[in-house]
Amino acid sequence: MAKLVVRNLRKLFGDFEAVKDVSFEVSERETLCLLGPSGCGKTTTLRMIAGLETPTSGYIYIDEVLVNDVPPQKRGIGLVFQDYAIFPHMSVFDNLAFGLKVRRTPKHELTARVDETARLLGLSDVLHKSAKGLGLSEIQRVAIGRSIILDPKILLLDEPLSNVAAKVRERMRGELKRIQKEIGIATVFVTHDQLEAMVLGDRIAVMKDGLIEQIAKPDEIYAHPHTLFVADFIGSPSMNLIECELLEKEERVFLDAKDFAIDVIKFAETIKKKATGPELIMGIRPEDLSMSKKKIDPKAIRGEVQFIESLGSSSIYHLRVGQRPLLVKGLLEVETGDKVWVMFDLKKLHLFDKKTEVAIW
Amino acid sequence: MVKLKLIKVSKKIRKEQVLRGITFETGDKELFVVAGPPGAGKTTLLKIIAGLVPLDEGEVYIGDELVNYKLPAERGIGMVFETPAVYPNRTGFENIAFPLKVKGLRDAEIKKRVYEVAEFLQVTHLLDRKPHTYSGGELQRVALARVLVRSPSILLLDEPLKNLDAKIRERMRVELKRLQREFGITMIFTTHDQLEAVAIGDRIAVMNKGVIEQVDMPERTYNFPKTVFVGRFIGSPSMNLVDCTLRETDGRWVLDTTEFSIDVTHLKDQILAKSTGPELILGTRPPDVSVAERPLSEQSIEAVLELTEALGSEKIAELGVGRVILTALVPPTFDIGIGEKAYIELKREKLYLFDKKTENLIICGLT
Amino acid sequence: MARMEQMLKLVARYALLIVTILWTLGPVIWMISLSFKPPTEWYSPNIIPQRPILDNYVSLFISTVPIGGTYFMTSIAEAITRPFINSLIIASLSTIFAVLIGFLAAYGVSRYRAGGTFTIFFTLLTRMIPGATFVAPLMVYYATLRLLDTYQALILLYTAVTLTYSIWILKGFIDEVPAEWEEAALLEGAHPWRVVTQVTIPLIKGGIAASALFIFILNWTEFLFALVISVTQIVTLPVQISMYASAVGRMYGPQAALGLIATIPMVIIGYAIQKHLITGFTFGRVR
Repeated sequence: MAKLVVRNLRKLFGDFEAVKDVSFEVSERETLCLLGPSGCGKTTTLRMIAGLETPTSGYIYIDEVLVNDVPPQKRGIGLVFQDYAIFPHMSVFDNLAFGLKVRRTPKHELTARVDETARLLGLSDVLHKSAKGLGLSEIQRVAIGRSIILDPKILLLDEPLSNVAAKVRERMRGELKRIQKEIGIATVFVTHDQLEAMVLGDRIAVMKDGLIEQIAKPDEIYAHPHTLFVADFIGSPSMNLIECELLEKEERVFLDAKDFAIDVIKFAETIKKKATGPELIMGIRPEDLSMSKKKIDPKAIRGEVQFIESLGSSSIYHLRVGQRPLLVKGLLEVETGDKVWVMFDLKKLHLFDKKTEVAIW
Repeated sequence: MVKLKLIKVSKKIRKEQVLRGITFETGDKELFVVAGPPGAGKTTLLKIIAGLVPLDEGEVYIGDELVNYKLPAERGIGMVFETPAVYPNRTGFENIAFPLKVKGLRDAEIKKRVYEVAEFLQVTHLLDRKPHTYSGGELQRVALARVLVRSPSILLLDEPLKNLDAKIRERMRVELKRLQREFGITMIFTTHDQLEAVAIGDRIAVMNKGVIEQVDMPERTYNFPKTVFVGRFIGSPSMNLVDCTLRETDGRWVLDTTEFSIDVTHLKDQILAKSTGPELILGTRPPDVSVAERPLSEQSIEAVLELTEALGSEKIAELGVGRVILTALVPPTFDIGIGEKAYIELKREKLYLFDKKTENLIICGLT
Repeated sequence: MARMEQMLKLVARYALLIVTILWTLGPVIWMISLSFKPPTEWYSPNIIPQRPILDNYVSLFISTVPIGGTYFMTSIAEAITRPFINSLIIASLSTIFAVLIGFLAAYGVSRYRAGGTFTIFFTLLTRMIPGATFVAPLMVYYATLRLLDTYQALILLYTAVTLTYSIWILKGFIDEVPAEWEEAALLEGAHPWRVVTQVTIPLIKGGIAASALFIFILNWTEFLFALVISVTQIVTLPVQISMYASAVGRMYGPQAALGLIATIPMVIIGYAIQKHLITGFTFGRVR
């Protein structure tokens, strides 16, 4: 059995169903990320695993033991809160040693374990400094240190990087990833930032309204989103989602998006089999569209540049194709108002039934 | 013409010099972004412009008028704070109407204006509800409505997107720009996120420890950073910065990083003229670092792959060259294993040289 | 087996609760029952009086009419109407002044760091020295100023003493209101006074209610100084109660009634502002 098994978890707050039916497993050395917008139930799920909330129904097994009725301190979990919660007036050493002192660990063992944990987290230099003067990334590492020093079976992190300035977040993300690999404990963390999830998670569970929409490896979720929500949520900038209709006219089968159309005769059969109707939504990521100033490809579609967000090495072009907005990521020397030609990479086209599911990839 | 101009503004707060000689000028109807890490002094700067905090030295001009001695309310400024000024004990309507009530407008006029702005910002459905029912994005918009209802000529926003979810932040920043364009207003906002600044700013001012290091169009701060700080702050992933020494060996001049060196014989005069000593910093951005399984040229640098981070449409690869770590941006198909050898190519035209002591840019591009 | 354990824990918890409630409310319940009992039942153990009367209450307001005859009295018992009104006036006015002045001071400290870092701590000194220490000097002081036995004396004193609480409690609440909310209003042209009255105060209504109630209770039940400073004119309720108790000896009925009447104003105020107490504590800050 995996280190952490969660089955059919449900949580009601009065009338409000915060978590409807959540199930997943996390193995040792694996990091699972619960990703979703505010209010989707991810933090509630984490709190149930920690034992801070009692599930309305469902089961939680840690290391093959049912822990539903076990209080948090006896579950063998390490929990790192959003604001890190370390003791500012104590030294780093005392912070790390706290849990061990409470458990009356003998002095030489305590020192050995603190030294080991500090070394693991790169805190050996600041071991005897007061926690007050530390930088954010060090504080985070102390918080993690405090939770892993007790040899937990699983590690839980609540939005580990959300309180941090953008630049520092980058660096801390890399550090966190390195630490995770070294420690090797089954980890679950919660975030609303899809980039964080992609970087830190071995697998990602995308949640919405108390349910998991998809759970898979980052690459998989990026390339093959199962639902409209996942497709929209993962990837920055968001995937272009365009309503269209599957039409058969004369001998062509195409997706009619009113302002443009895409020939799909090759896949027509597959589409028709899986769809519940002709109304579909096509999705294409901004980075999978290409632009040129002149019409090279006969199938290219004409658009006008409304707005450009420059990101340094590339830019996001907000185009208008007929009535529709379309986002393209790339690099082209154009200005607002210019006309460009857009090409779709059919291999990267996603199709969703209007009632949310993937028809073809 | 409403431009904002600051000349040598300085401010000390409780023994700390928070702002030092700040000087810049915005254009008319420009989206001007002040970007910098927390503690750089951005909020203090905005509050001084608004008149909520008195300055120690310097001048602030709005339009062409010196406003140092004008009350905040007289400066024609609207400000949206980091914690949106939306009062929880009042409805959306009452919140937006507040400034008009203070002005003493008639009820009918107030109602008309509030509904106009609410419509413009699409918050009409929030007017009879209280703020505790709003989402983060809705709260922002009501705060904006409250400010816009007075038709200010300059809009100041202090980290407006900070408290929003990542996805919503993406959308809101575009909306902010759209708003700025449609309303035709000069907008100044602060942020610690360089991506936001670069994505929608017409021009940005990069601020660090109370000093503005560079004021320029976003592309220029990216391609021509004037200092090490700007180079490192702008662009994600951050620019690679490696210490090096200018050395002469056998008639050739090189930049020696102890792990690899770069020949700069033909540039030695330029470098010597502009630097204060032989200690320099070499910079190059991750997208300009190419990685291959085999050496592609004589200048290829041997390295070991230490870590990769998958970002969806691309990957970040960290490569170790001895004690130096270089970050590169690679395509998602990159499949060299961790611990394996790899070969790095640096683009000479995308190498930056900074003086180690002054941290100023010496040469941009080592061709 | 775990279910049994849980049941037992539940039973134990409720048992503990019931015991605590009985322990706390027991005397109160007994007082209520006593206050309606005729003298013959004062010593009997039944909680509900067999022949309930209102005379205990009525006699409080009429001086000299003895209940149960003069057997129980050791001196003249005065009506409590005067003391009750005195207490009402003094406690209310002191509370209002303390909250008003305290708010202004708290606002200054919170927003403008008035007095620097240390002045605020000096206000705590008034609470650190036991009142009994300066009773005598205060009495001489007031005597010299011819303020003995006056309303002003007690009002001044109570205001000064409870000011500390007022400042500290209100400062806490003012700190919770983001300064930026006030700055926004200032920016829109509101006069600082308007900002305080229309923005800050409405947001801390709960805090003001809480501190007002707290201070009122302190003032209402204050005994030591009232005893010393009042002679005949401005006798407050606590003083009167003590005199009454020694006067009527073992007339438990009227004493019980008196005890209950003394608590009525605080109960009324508490009940009236409870809505504000709750809205004050759930501030409604979004995320």
